Amino acid sequence: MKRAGTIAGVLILLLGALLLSPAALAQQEIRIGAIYPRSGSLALLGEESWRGAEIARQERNEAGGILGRQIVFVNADAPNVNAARSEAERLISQQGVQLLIGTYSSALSMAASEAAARRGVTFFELGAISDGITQRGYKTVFRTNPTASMFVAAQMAFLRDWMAPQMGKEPEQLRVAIAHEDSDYGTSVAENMRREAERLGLNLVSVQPYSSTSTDLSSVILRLRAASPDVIVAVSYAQDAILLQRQAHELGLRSKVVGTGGGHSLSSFYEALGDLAEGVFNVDFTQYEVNTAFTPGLEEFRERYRATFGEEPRSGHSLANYMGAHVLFDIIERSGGSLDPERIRASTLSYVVRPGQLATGWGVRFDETGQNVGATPLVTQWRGGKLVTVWPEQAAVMAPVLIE
Amino acid sequence: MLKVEHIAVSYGEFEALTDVSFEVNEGELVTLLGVNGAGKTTTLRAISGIVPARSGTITYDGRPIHKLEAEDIVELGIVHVPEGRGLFGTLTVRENLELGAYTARARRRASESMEMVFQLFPVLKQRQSQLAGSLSGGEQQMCAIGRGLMARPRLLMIDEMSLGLAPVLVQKMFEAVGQIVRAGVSVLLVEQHIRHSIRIADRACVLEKGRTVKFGPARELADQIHFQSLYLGAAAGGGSSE
Amino acid sequence: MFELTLQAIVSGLLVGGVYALMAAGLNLIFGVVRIINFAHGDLMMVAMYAVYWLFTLSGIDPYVAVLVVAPALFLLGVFLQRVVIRPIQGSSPLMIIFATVAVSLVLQNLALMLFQGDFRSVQTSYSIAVLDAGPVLVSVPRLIAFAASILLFAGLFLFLRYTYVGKALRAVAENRTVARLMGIRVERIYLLAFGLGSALAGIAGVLMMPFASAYPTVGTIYTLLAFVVVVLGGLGSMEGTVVAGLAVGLIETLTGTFISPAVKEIAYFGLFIVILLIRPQGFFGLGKGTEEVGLK
Repeated sequence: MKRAGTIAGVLILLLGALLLSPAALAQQEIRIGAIYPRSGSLALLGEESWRGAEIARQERNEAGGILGRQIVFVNADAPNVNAARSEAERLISQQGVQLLIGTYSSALSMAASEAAARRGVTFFELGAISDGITQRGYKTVFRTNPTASMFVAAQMAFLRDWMAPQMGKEPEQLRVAIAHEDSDYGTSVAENMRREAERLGLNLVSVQPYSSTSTDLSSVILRLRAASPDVIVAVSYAQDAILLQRQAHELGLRSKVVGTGGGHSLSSFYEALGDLAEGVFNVDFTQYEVNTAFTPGLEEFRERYRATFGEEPRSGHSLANYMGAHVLFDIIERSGGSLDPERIRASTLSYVVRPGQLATGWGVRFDETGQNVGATPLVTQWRGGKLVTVWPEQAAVMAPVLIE
Repeated sequence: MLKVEHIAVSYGEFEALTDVSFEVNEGELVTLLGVNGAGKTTTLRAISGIVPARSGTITYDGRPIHKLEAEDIVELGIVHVPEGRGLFGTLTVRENLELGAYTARARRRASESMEMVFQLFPVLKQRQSQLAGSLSGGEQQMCAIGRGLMARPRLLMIDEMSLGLAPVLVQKMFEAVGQIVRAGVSVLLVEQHIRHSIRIADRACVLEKGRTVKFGPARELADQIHFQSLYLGAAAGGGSSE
Repeated sequence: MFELTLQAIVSGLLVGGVYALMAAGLNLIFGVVRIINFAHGDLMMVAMYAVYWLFTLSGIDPYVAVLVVAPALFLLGVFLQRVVIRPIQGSSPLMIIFATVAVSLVLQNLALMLFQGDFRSVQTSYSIAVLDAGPVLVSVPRLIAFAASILLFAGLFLFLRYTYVGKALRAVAENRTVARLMGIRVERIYLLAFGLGSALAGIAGVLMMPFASAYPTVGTIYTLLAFVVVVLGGLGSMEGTVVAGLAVGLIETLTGTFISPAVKEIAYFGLFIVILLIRPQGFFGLGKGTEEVGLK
């Protein structure tokens, strides 16, 4: 009896799945799988990233969708790498999704995009920065945001071109230390930094890896202090960025700090640190205190975000995903609404926007690997509780200063 | 005072007691006899409420107590000194004794009781700040009985009192039990030294395979002891019971 | 070099004090109730959010908030023991582990749902105060947390040693059946132990809030750390917990400073595994009851 009941249950479920099957709906709607970490330790910025894409979707749908067809996200939560891979596979094989976006985290992106590429499905990364994502030779993986090495290039150029002269030093006299969290993300970015610092002739005095789940970073600070750097370049997530800054203060380390996106750009960084955050630099996706002549559409996005979610955006991740999603929708439109991977690739590679035209200020120009090489990170600085764009000049709302 | 009537106890499938009956009067010393596995320890556990009786009744001063929790039974003045002493080895002798007087009723008179216990077992006074786990076997048994007395019992049940003790100590323990009874406390004793316990007991109850086979004045049973030794003998050999 | 060593030792001890306090509650619950509470760090997380909201909404100083938070966490602990643990006490260790892990997940997801993943911090006048003590610098809120932890340990020690209830807790930890024979109401002692253990986690959360942030998963690493400390110090041993907590703090800071920050976690987890292999009862452990929770 019990067994018969189970079989009947399964049959009903199968029948339901058939009725709701994507094939039945595909005519009206454009279905896009959206994979973000929305629970677990990456949830904060995962959710923030998703919100940006979601706002773009709503906006586009209100404006009539893509060629009159509404856009639907099939949302999946991917708190870890295994989930990212299996959710990508599930969306493709069970939900019949033909195009995926995501993911905020590089590790999640690597897994999800690989699962998509192996099935020949298009994957658009809108926020993760690890270089490797677009360097695996997959023809269906694209990225709209700048990569880690583009971050590093901007950061080191800032040290050489602005900070060293400001301190009255030649680039080779500027003592630079690196503190980075030791996952793939931090390690690969730090490796890029080391190479870029050497290439530009900066004096690299110390490199300190640490685990981002550490509850105490006093040993990192003590080692950095021993190297007496002028500037510390940090690659951190949220909690460790706060901890580094606080413990540097507690242990008397007074070097300038330049973050690399991530934790240094969060509003919680300032909320936790207050005055201790003042003057900290950061290289990141476009933030909200920016010259809006360079970022048309940013204010509208911000208002919409407030109206939709009842609070201020917590970081530029939402904006980057918003811009990326719009670029993707444009590309789909250029493919005549088709999600066929070859047509998508062709429209992607031929799609070009000059810098200063979109809400992030980023240009759009995809290279053969699928990377948008038109995207450029900006240097910001915490000033009076706001992350203000200070460099390069055309995007800046204030001039950078060294705060003692 | 205490009346046990036809109680049965099972541990899962295993029937430890099937039909046990006996009684203990005010100021009386009753001993439970039987081979290992006959059900002596289980009988004490059923009375103190650690294991539930499946059927039968236990009454105390005429009121049924077999549905009560162990904690409530202690409050009534029925105190169980378990087999193997059950001392808290990581606590001091003094702390063990203090815990004996944990119930509200006993706690009020704790210092008085402590003096009485130290009088009965002077060695405990010397050892009071030592960990109970570091005592010798005899001292441990004294501590266990002393802890039982701290609860101000009207009925003290002692399981395997002299197990593993040297003959001199066994003698001492029996003397102590004699004093306890003379002080007006009823005692229910489970012992391996059958002759000895039968000599000082008022009544004895013989258990066999979980049932009472004899209950009567100890003197009468003592006369039949050669007759019973067939299966009582095994118990005199020592070793742990059920 | 001397100054660096001294500073590393001071920093290590300061952080170790908090680890010890976290572990104390876990160990108390383990010793008495015989369960490993995998939601222990999440109870700390709840306390941190409570401090944050009391501060943000009513301007109550974190250290004053302890008067509300500690009793509230005590009640939460009592509730968990009564509603979650008691019905399944006596079933398999695995079942109880599942139950506490489930509590952990529920608390984390509840926090995520109610407060999102944001990092919540409080800024007080003393949050960034630093004491310049000659060769070493000492963060004032960290020093307060350390001192309060040591005081709490002293209090806990006196409570367990000299009060009737404290002795009853120790008695139940050692032998619950015999404890019942003393008239000790074991179920109530379980409630008390779970309540006290939770309150200790709550106080640890309060003490940390001036220099740490609350977020839904903040407790996870602390559950892990507390577990390491408890195993190192010995299941059921409070003295061992203090020593092991400070030791883990020191190991973390010293290996981090003199070898590499990347290996500091490996150092104490390595020690943890070695201890499990060669001396599973820990530095001071009783070694009893560990089989009941599935450790042996």
